[in-house]
Amino acid sequence: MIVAAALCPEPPLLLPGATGGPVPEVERLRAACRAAVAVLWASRPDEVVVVAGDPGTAQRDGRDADAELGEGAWRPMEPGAGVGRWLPAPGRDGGTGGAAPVLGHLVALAVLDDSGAGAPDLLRLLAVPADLTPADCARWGAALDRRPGRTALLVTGDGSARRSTSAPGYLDPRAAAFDDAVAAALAAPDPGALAALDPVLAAELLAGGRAAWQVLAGALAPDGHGGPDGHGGPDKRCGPDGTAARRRWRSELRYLDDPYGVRYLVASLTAG
Amino acid sequence: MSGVSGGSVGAGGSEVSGGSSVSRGSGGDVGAGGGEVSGAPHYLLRDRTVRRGELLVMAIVNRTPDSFYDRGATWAEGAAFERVREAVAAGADLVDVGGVKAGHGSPVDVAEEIRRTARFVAAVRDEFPDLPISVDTWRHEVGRVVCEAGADVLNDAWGGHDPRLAEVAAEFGAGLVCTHTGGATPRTAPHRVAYPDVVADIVERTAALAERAERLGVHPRRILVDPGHDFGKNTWHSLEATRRLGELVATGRPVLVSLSNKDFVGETLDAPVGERLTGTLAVSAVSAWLGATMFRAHNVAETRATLDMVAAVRGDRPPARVLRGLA
Repeated sequence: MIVAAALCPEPPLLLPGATGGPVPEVERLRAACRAAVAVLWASRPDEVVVVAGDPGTAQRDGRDADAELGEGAWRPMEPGAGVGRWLPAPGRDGGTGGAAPVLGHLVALAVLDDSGAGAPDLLRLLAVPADLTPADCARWGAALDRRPGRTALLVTGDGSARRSTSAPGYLDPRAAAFDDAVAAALAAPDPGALAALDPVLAAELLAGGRAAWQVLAGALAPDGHGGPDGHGGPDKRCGPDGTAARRRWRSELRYLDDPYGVRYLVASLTAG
Repeated sequence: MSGVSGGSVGAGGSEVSGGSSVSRGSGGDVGAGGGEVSGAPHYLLRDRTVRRGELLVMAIVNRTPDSFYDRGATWAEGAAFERVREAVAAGADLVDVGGVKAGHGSPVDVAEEIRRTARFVAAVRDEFPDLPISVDTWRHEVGRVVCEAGADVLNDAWGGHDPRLAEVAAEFGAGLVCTHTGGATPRTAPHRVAYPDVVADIVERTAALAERAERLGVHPRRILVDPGHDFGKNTWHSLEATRRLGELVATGRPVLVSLSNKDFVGETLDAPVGERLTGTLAVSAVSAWLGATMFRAHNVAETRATLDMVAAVRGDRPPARVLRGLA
């Protein structure tokens, strides 16, 4: 069962040593990430699942969500492996051996390490194909919620990289409205609104967080409440007293900015 | 949480990749202590034969209103012409005429790019009959017109994005620059680019472009390879490409480096565009030492002096005037 979630951006900027010297905007972002992941450890998790979009994995059809989570979607913990793909330098591992590392996993490990709390042996790395459909994302999220014990999620992803003429993807006038909708959905929180994000528009806007956010939406509302298929109802669970209770989520938006033309967002969610 | 990724940076820091390439590339004709440039032709530029060890300056001449360094200073044809005269006087071996800003900006279509470059190339050819002229373009339509106007080299800075550009070079007997961009689309900025081994990718992709050009009929000695600093690369990638430039030199093809005032220099020194000359010259000296042949530059006189100094240290060029202690 999901007990808490944190959202962090995944720019290579957050990898250890990436900026060379310290950069004030990046340090501010790091501080927000530290505060968000502290919420995960405070939830006394039995495991922390890092959920990150993987642009290197194409979606396969006809999968069963649980089976999918069991094969291939889980990545091995190899701290530091592959950082040299983004930051080549003597002594940095380029990860030339195995499967391509997922940037969000590497950033998440850096953020967790930076936070100085928690236990590495509780971490699990989940790679979400960047083009996973909203319906499959919802199924993946529900499968995460069915895991035994207390599961906390660290979800990495970013909004549009097309927010200004100096942004990596130049300016797309649709970017601001898209990002604002995401921020509002996460602040509410409104899993239904996250689940309804358009994957085509997100891809055009270079908004890499879409798939991971929609997995989060599925985890927060595993019975499809507000999901993309519209068939859901409230998430009902039998409490210790035998009554059905729908979990309510509280969200805290801790960072929302785009210092380099990409929308970064940090938030934490706890079950109320 | 200590231990999650604590070992990721600095582990094995004693290994200095590329350190073994601080030799002089693959050619044996520039041996240590060799006093003179000699040996087989290394590169052919118009009707000039360049020997291994010679260092050439390619002067940037922008026919653009918006390029990052000069911000339109030579947008007017008269100013651009004056720029050519100054560059030649300062020791440029060739000029590189560009009609489209590399970064994002106002669209420039084929017709507009031709308007900006072709007549200008013809005028430069008239005034400087022997000056090698390069044109910085990725479009074959532009390449054809400027070759007709007298261009000698097509500087394909976007790495074969238009595969027909190499065909035009072959058709006109022109030279070609084969650049690594990591597959970037023209006029886009890098966004979270990653390479298992950026230098291996540079060597592999530039070799493929060069071999294809040869098959199409471009003269093998008129092909330059360019590691494409900043193109499809973050600053760490560009620094690695410089550190291990010897691996590209070792392919035996003459290497062009385009370093001038670029972002990787600015980010390394935290210097805005107007304050990157010192860093540019430092990285030019390192690249010359590691075996690069041609240097694309805004600051021609300073680059010429830097390269002459490196050539003298290498023993490829005699010092200009030696009297000290000799009287």
